[in-house]
Amino acid sequence: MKWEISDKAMESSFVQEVEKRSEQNVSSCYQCGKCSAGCPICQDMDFSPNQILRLIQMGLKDEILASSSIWMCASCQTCTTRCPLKIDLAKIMDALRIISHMQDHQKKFKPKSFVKDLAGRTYDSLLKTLDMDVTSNLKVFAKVFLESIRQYGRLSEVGLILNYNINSGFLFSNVKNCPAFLSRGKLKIKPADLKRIDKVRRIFEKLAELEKEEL
Amino acid sequence: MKYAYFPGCSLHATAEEYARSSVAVCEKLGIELEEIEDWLCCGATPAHITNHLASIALPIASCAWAEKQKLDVLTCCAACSSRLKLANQEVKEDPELRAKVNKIIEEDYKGNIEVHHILEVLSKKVGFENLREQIVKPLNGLKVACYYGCLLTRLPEPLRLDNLEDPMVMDDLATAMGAEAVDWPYKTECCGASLAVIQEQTVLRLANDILTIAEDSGAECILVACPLCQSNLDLMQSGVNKKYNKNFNIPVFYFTQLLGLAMGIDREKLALSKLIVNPFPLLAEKGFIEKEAYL
Repeated sequence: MKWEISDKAMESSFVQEVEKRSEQNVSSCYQCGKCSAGCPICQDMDFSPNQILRLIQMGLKDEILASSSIWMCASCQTCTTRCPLKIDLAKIMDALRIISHMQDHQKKFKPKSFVKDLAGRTYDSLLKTLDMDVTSNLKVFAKVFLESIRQYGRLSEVGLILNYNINSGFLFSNVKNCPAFLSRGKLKIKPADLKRIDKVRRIFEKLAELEKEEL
Repeated sequence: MKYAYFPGCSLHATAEEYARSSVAVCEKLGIELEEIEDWLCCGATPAHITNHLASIALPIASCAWAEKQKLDVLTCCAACSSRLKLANQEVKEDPELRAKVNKIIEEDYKGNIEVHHILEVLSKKVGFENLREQIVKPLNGLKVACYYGCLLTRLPEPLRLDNLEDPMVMDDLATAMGAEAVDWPYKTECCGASLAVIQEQTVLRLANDILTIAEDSGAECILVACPLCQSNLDLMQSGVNKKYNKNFNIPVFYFTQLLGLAMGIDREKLALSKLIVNPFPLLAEKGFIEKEAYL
């Protein structure tokens, strides 16, 4: 892989934005690798956590935002608690995801939907395509999760899975778990019914307005 | 002792047994719980990875109700408690943020209350010495692996529950119940949380590691205090067996279920039959329940 490194990129507004949003000093990292050693997801990431930090130091914004690592991070905070320099890497991951999310907003990004694509595809080929698109799926997940809170004030687990499956195109994901849940009466089909759902909607309206102002 | 109770979304659905057993344990201990009216989802990971303000505003909307009742908040879910505590800490320290959040949630939250995880209430407010007096059916001879997962222990000071790398609070509680808490190195490893929905392979790998080390350490069952940990070790166990050619049959209890059993609480209230891996053969073998009870 070939990267172009320049002083300009290293002093770019991207580095400053990450530092501002995360309230962390990214240049203090000396690449000991302890974050990656303890990261439970590291082996499934395209860049390890310490590599992500190095990429930030070099200002390689596009490479980072295209990476699945920032979305694969499970926010377990092992890196944060073990960093010898007390860099809160989990917070940096949050900052990167928020920056990516804002960029999607600007580009009016819509997560890919494979539903329209279903005709003529074998299930296996569909799975393969979807596997490669983990970033998009993780974004879809966050989106449908928050939409459930906006609608009902709480998460409807059944609604989340249904919505996720439809929007990601992964129609049958998690379906195999249904019998076990159903037989134990764990699936609640009916969403929450809050007395003052209007207030929740207003909270989300205001959050959306503030987000727009930031763009 | 009275708390504003924040159940969280999981405890109202897939983790109903955690809610029922926690409420039963509190009732028996004389801890009064008043459920927060119209509590909102804490926002969980999807909020803090896309919108920082949302990750603060949602938890504080629930805390504001508790403050009006002059009650501290009690949560059982490790993930909710982590989000609520962090949000509460942030608005306490940052008046500007607090004002902004109050405007969004149409409240006047001042930050005068605290958020507690149920383990904290049991260890610090009730105290294990007092709790021990309530144990009428000690779980003698049961070997348990106490699994804390990530979110329960990784909060910054002063919100931290226990030692970061080697927490003992659940182990001490298990000992107080009469059980034997095995010493094992994976108690704070992450289970992959909600990646189970999107990247099942990752979670199966992590669950396999955790279950393997627990079994190798001599544990007969696992104790948890988080709905995501529970589901990833219990529901996913059959998937782990299939993928890694294993034969795990390890019950994964919410710690309140076993505590309730040891306190002699009516078994119905502990909703043991909601667990995916059948816990009754183990409980009967150890003599904690009658064999006829589940046949």
